[in-house]
Amino acid sequence: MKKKLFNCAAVALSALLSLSTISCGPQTIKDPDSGKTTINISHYGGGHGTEYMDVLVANFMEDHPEYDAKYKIKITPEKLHSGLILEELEAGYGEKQMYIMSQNDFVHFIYSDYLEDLSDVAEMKVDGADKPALKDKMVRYEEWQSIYSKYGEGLYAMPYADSVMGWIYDHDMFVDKNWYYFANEKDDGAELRAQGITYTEQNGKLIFQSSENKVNYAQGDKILTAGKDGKYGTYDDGQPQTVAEWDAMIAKISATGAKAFISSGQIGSYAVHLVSALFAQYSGLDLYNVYFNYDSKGEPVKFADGTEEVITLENGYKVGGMEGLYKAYEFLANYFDSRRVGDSRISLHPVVEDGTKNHIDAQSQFLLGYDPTATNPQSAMLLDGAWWEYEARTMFNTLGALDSSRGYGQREYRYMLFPYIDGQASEKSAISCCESGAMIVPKDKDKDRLKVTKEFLAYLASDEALNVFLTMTGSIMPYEYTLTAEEEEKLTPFTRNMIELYSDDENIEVVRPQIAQLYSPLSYAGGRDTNTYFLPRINGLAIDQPFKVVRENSLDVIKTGLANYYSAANWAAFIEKAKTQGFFND
Amino acid sequence: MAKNVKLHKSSGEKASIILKYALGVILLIYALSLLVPIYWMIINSFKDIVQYYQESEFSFPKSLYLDNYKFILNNMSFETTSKDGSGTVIYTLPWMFYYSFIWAFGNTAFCLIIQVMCAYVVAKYKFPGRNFLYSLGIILMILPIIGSTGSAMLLRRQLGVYNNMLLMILTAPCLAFSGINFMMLHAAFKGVPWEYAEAVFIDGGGHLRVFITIMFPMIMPTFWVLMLLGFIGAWNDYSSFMFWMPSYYNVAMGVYRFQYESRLELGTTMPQILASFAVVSLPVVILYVAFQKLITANFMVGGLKG
Amino acid sequence: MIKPAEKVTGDAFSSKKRVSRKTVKEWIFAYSFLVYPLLLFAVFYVYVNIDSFILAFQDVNIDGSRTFAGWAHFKYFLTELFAESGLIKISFTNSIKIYLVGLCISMPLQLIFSYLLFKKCFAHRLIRILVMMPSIISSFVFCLVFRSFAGSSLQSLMKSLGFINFPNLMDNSNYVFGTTLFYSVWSSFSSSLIIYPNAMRSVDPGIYESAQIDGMCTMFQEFRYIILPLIFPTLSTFLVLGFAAMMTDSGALVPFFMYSAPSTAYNMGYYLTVQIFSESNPMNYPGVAAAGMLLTVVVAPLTLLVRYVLDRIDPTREDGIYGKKRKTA
Repeated sequence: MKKKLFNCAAVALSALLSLSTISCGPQTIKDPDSGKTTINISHYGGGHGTEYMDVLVANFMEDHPEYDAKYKIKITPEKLHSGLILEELEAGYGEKQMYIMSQNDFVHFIYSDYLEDLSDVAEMKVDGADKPALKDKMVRYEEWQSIYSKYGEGLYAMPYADSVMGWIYDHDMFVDKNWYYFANEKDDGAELRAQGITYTEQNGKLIFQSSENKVNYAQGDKILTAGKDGKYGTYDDGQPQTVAEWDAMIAKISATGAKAFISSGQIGSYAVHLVSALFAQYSGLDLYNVYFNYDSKGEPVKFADGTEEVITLENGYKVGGMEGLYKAYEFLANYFDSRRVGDSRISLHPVVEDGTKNHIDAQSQFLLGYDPTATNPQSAMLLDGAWWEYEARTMFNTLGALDSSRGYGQREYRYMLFPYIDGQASEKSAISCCESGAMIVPKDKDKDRLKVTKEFLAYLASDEALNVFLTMTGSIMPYEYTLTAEEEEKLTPFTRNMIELYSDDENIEVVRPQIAQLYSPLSYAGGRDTNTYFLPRINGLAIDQPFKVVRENSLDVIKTGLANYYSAANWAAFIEKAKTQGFFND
Repeated sequence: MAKNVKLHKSSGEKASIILKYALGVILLIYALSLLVPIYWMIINSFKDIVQYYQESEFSFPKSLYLDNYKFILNNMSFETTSKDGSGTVIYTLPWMFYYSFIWAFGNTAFCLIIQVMCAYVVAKYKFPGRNFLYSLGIILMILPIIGSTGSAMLLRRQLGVYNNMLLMILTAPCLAFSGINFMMLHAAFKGVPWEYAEAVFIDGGGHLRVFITIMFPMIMPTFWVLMLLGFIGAWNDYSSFMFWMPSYYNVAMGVYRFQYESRLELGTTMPQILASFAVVSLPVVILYVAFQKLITANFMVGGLKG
Repeated sequence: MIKPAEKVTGDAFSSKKRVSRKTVKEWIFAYSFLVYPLLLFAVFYVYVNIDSFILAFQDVNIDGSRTFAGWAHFKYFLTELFAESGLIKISFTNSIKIYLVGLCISMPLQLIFSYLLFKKCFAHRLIRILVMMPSIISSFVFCLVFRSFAGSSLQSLMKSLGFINFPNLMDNSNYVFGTTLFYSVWSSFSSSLIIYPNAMRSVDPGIYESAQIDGMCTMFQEFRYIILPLIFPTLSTFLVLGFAAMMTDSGALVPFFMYSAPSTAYNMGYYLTVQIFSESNPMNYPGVAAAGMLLTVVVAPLTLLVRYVLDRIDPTREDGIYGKKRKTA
C-alpha cells in the first residue's frame, strides 16, 4: 500500500514539477526591429516559395527609409484555407495585415465587410507618374473587378499568380530521341526561306544557320516543323498538330521504352486543367464561359446528346451536358483509360495511378527518367505548372551535382499543346492557368499602417517586383509589363518559352477556371459546391479527378454523369437563395 | 496441478491443438506484418533521393546514407514569434523534445487526475444528477461539434489562455466525464469493492482519505496504462500547438511542418521526412518497450455498469 | 476539501425523501470533485458550443448574417439519407458496414488471438510488443506504407504475374472502401490483444482446473464456457464504445487521403470532418450541425439501449454464477 501511495505522490509531484518548468524556454532572440510596428503578411507561396518575398520586402524598405524606421514587414509562410482565415478575421486573433493565398474563394469576406477596399491601390502608379496605373496594368481588370466587388462596387482583392498548367517536356530530349516532327525541304523549305531562315540539309533534316528575325534556334540545331502558330523558331516547333500526329508521337515515345505521360496520382486536380483547356479549345472561349455564367446570350448551345438549347439562369443546371465538356473527356479517355490494355495510346508512368505520390515525387521521377530503371521508366511529358522548376530545385541540385548539364535552368523545357480536335470551334489552342490566387487586406484600425500595407501591396505589382517574382519563381503575376533583354537573359529557357506561349494572343486562348467559377454569384451565394467543376456526378457521387473518371467509367456513363451534375430539382432553390441575398434582382 | 489431471488426448483435443498452432502461425504472421511499415520507414530513411525514386521502395539501401539524419539534426529548427510578440524564438530539436515532454507528460497527467476524480465519484457515489452526468458523457462522445473554433479562440484570447501552455493544460479537461478514458476509469472503480472503504470509515477516516489512500491506489495499474498511452498520443499531437500555442513547438509540430510545408518551402525530400519520423518515434518506442511489461500486465477494462 | 456536514441540512430533498446527514456528506464530497471539471465544461464547452446548436436551425448568408431556416437542414439530410444514392447515403451505410465488420470480423479475431496469447502460444511476448506498433508509430507512416503497397506495389506485382487488369485497390472506386475496411481490421488489434488476455488472466485459475476435471477439455469448450462469460464486461465495454463512435469515427481516411478520399470510401465521421475542415465554407456549417444533431438523437439512445441490454445479459452480474467469485477475488 505504501508503495502505491508513493507512486501517487510521485505522479503528482512530477506533474507539478514539469508544469513549473513551462516558463523556461529556448532563448528569445530579441528582434533588432523591436519597437517597430509589424505588418504581418500571411502567405502561401506553394510552388513559388516565399524567398522572393524576402527580396521584395528588403527592396521596398530600401526605397522607403521613412517606413523602414517605423515598420517591419513580416512574412509568415503558411497555408490557410479560407475557413481558417475567416475564423482569424472573426476572432481578430491573427492580427494579419495581408493574406496572399493560392485560392480565390474570398467573396464572402467582402460581403461580411472584413476586407479593405483596394480601389485606391488600383489607381496607384507604382512605376512612375508617367506610367500606367495598376488597374491598367492588370490583365483583364474588368473581369477581376466584377468578381471581387460588393454588388459591383469597389475592388477588394488583387490577383496573385497566373501560372500556365500543361504538359511539360524536355526539348533537348525530344530532339535527341526523334520524338519531334522535323522540318524537311519539301514541306518546309519555301516557308523557311520566306521567314528569312537559312539552313543546310543533312540526312534529310534541315540544319539551322541564321535568321533575320529572333528565333529559338542556335546554329547547328535541327529545324523542326513550324507547329500550330505557323512560325519557325517559336515555343511550339515540332509539336504534333493533328490527333493522328499526336498519336504517332505517343507511339514513337512508347517504342523507345519510355512512357508518354507522367502526373502525380495524389494531386488529381491538376488534370482538371486539361479538361478545362480541351473544353475551351473545342468550344471556344464564349461557350466555355457559358459553363460558368449560365448565359448563352440567346444563342443555342449544343449538348453532348445532340440536342440544342439556349442557356439562361433558369436552366443553368444543364451546362454540364455541353458538347465541348464531353469531348474533352472523350479525348482524355483515349490516353488515360488504363483499362485499354494493348492500345498504343495508353502510355502511362506508374506514378499516374499511385495515390501516394505527389507532384514533387512526379517531378523527381520525371527528372530522373534519363536513367530509366524498372521502378522509374523514362517519361516524356509531365503535367505541372509554371512554378515546377523552382519546386523541383532539390532534385535539380542533386542532379546538377552529378552532371552539371542537368542542373537548375540548364535544360530547355517547353509546354506541349494539345492537337487540333476534330470539330473544334476556333483555330486557337487553349491553355488553362492555375493558382490564380488573390491578395487581400483585412480592415485595419491603424490607418498609418494601412497606408504602408497598401503601398507595399501596390509595390508587389510594380515592374521591379514582377521581375523579381518571375526570375525567382518562374511564374507570372497577371500584370502587364515588358521584359528588358537583360532581364530575359536571367530567366530559365523554360520560363522564356512559357512567356512566349502565354503572350501569344493570336494563337493561344488562356482560360482560368478558378476565376471563371466565380462569374456567377450562384457559386458563392447559392450554396452549391464549387470545388468540383468539370467533373461528372456518377450514381449521385462526385468523382474527384478526371483521370479516375476515364479509367473507371464508360463514355456513356460519363456523358450522363456530366449532364446530371446539377440536379434540376435543387437549381431553383439555389437561385432563390441567391436572390434573397440581393443577387439577380435587377 | 493442471498437468497431473491430464489424461490421454482425445481426437477432439488433438484437433484443437492443431487448430491452436495454425491460428498461432496466422497471428505471428500478422504481428510480423506490422513490422513492414517500420522496416520501410527505416530503410528508406537511409536512402539518397536518387535511390529512393529509382528503385523499389522495399529495396535495401545501397549504403548507409546518414545525411538524411544529419539534415534532420542540423536543419530541423523553426522560428516563431515569442509570446509577447517582441522577438523571435528559435526552436532547435532539443527544445522541441523538451516541449514534447512537458505537453505529453503534464497535460496527460493533469487531465487524467481530473478524470480519475470524476470517474471515482460517478462510479462510487450516489448523488442527484449522477445518471444524468453519465448519460451526458455518452451523448457528448457522439455529438459532433462544428464551427466553434472561432468562438473558442475568442474566449481563450479573452481569458489569456491562448498561447499560454500552463493555462492550456489547466483548462484542458473540460470533458473529463466523457470519453474512453473516463469509461475505463469508471469501470476500474466499479470493480473495486466498497468494503475497503468501510474499514477506513470505521477508523474515522473521511471520503478524501478513502480516495487517496485506498481507491486511487487500487486503480493505479489502469491509471499508469492510460498515462502511458496518453503520453504516446500527446507526443504525436501537433494540432494543439498549431492552433492554440503558436509560440511553442514540439517535435510532432516540427515533423508536421517538415512533412507538409517544407517539401515546398525547404525542398525537404521524402527520405528526410521519414528520417524525421524515425527520430520522433524513437523515444516513444523505447518508452513502450521499457514499460511494455507494465502495460501488458495492467491494461484492463471492466464493464460499463452505471 | 470537505465542508463540515452540520452546515448542510439537505432540506432541498427532505420534502420528498428523508436524506441522512451521511448522504449529504457524500454528495458534498462528490460535487467537490466535480466542481472544477464541470466549471470547465460550462465555460469551454457549453458556452463555446451553444452557437453550434443554434446553427442547425439557421442559414448562413454571404455576408455572414444568419437567417432562420427552421427544419430545412434536417429535412435535407433525411431526404439525402433515404435518396437512391448520394454521398450522405453512402457515408451512412459505410459507417454501419464498418461497425458490423468490426463486430463480426475484428472482434472475434481479437478474441481468438487474445485467447492464443493467454494460452502463451509461441512468440507470445514478441507478438504483444509488435501489436502495439500501430498505436505508437505515427499513423502517417502506417497509412503511407499501406497505401503504397495496396495502391501501387501490389498492382505492379499482379500485373507482372499476368493479371493485366488487376485494379489499383487504393484508388479504384469499386475497391477502395473494401481496402480501407481491410486496413481498419489489420490495424485494429493493437490494444485489444493486451486488454483481453489480461481480462482472461484475471480469472481464477481454479476455475480452469475444475473445468478440466469436469471434462471440458477442448479449446473451444474452454473458450466458450469459461473465457467468454468471464470477459463479458470488457467485451461489452468495447461494444458500447464502438457503437457510440459509429457515426463519428472516420477511420484512417484522413491519414490516407487528407480531405480528398474517393466518394465511395466515405463514412459519416469522415463526411462531417470534410464538411468542417476542408476549405471550410460557413455556408455548409448549418447542414453539418443539423446532421450531427440528427445522428446524436438516433445514436445516443441506441447506445444507452445497447448498454442496458448488454448489462442485462451479462453473466457476471452480481446475481450470476460468477458474480460472487469475482467480488471476493
